[in-house]
Amino acid sequence: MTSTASDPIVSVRKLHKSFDKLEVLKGIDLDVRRGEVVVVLGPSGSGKSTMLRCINFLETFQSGTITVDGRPVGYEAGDHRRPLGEARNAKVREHVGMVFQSYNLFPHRTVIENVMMGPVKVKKVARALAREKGMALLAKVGMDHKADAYPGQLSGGQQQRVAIARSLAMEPSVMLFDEVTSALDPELVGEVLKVMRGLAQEGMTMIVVTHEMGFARQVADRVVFMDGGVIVEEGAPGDIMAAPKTERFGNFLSRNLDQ
Amino acid sequence: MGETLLDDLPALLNGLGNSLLVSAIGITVSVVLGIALGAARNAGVPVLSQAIAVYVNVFRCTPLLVQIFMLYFALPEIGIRLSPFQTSWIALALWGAAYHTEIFRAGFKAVPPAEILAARALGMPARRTFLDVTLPLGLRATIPAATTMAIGQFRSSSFMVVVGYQELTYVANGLVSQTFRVFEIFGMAALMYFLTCTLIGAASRGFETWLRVPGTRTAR
Repeated sequence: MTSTASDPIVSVRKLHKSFDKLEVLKGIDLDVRRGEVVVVLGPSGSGKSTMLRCINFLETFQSGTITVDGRPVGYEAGDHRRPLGEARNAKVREHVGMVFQSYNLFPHRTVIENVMMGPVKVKKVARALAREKGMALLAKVGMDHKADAYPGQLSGGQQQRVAIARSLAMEPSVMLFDEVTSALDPELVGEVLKVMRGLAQEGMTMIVVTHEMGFARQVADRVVFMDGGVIVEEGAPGDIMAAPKTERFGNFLSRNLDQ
Repeated sequence: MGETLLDDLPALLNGLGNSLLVSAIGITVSVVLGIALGAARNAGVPVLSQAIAVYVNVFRCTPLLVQIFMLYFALPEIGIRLSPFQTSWIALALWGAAYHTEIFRAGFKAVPPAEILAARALGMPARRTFLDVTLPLGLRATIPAATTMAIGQFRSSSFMVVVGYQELTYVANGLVSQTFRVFEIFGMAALMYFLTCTLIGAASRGFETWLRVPGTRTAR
């Protein structure tokens, strides 16, 4: 199967997810094409982060299918829905970069070691080569001067930029950003968004869950608004953020623009 | 045995050497077992996990002295004969491993899920994640508790007097019954236990400092 620019990198179909009796995702359909930047907006508890975690199978799900680069996520394709197993889940995750709200760097490893961890331990890349590529990625996020520092010695914004470099080191097909600026002091948000903007311009496929309206408006190719476990509205930010079609999205926008 | 404590010193030091020998073997085996069993418990490996829980409970809820008697006096009835030396280190290893299992299980459990999630998200399979994230972070957190247990194991090597293993307490007891200088000889033995344990504690704190990760408060 040859892939073209219009092939979806991520394809989510009829995704349902419950935590015990609480249904968090009630049938999500989403396609993300190569090079596309999709920003997911929505109130807390709307299922945005849960959907993101299903895409790299950090969360199991009860029904529906997800594919990344044509590979099934979590369960065998077809009717049987057998779990894929540890090795194949890990394989899928190699192609999906994820950046977390709380950075989640390995505290006992230096900045460059954090970035080298994936390539060396998972892809078995030679250390020298991994270091060279890692330093280039750190330069890209403006953190090469802290290569030998430990995460605990960095500010939140710096840690988050390192976390982005660590994900990029795996050369993923798609990058997932889970409210990556929500834990940051306001003055540190800009440096992280700048890195993400740069990635978008380079053509990285990105799914971004965020509360940054400005970022959605300026960087997104498509905005998806989720509420109550469903996608309520989606479209180009210039269209739907200027003239929301639903009352729910309209209210959400006016609440968040007031701030 | 001589007229003064100085004459008894070589015998006591020899006893201390034997205590250290069985303790070193017993502690090493129990720590390795404890890490492996603690990891299996933490991972919740089916069946194995339950078996380990039973083992821990049996050895934690029976006196060490009774365990020693079982090894030395009861096992020969089913054809397993252990020397005093073998009994000593095996008892320390089995008894200690039960506690070390719980210590390391707690340490692994205390590793923040966020870091484990990050490793999984990078595509690291469960075993790799354990070796590169859970183990190094968990071990750092368990150094103080594991050291306390190791000191306890060394002190408990004195129980081996009951199987006639020539460790420090056995030697001291022998000297006392021949010379009746009770206070001096047991006092000297107590001092030797005390100094050795103090040294183990200091070495452990040094190890902790050496492993300290810059920029974190905790003894990583």
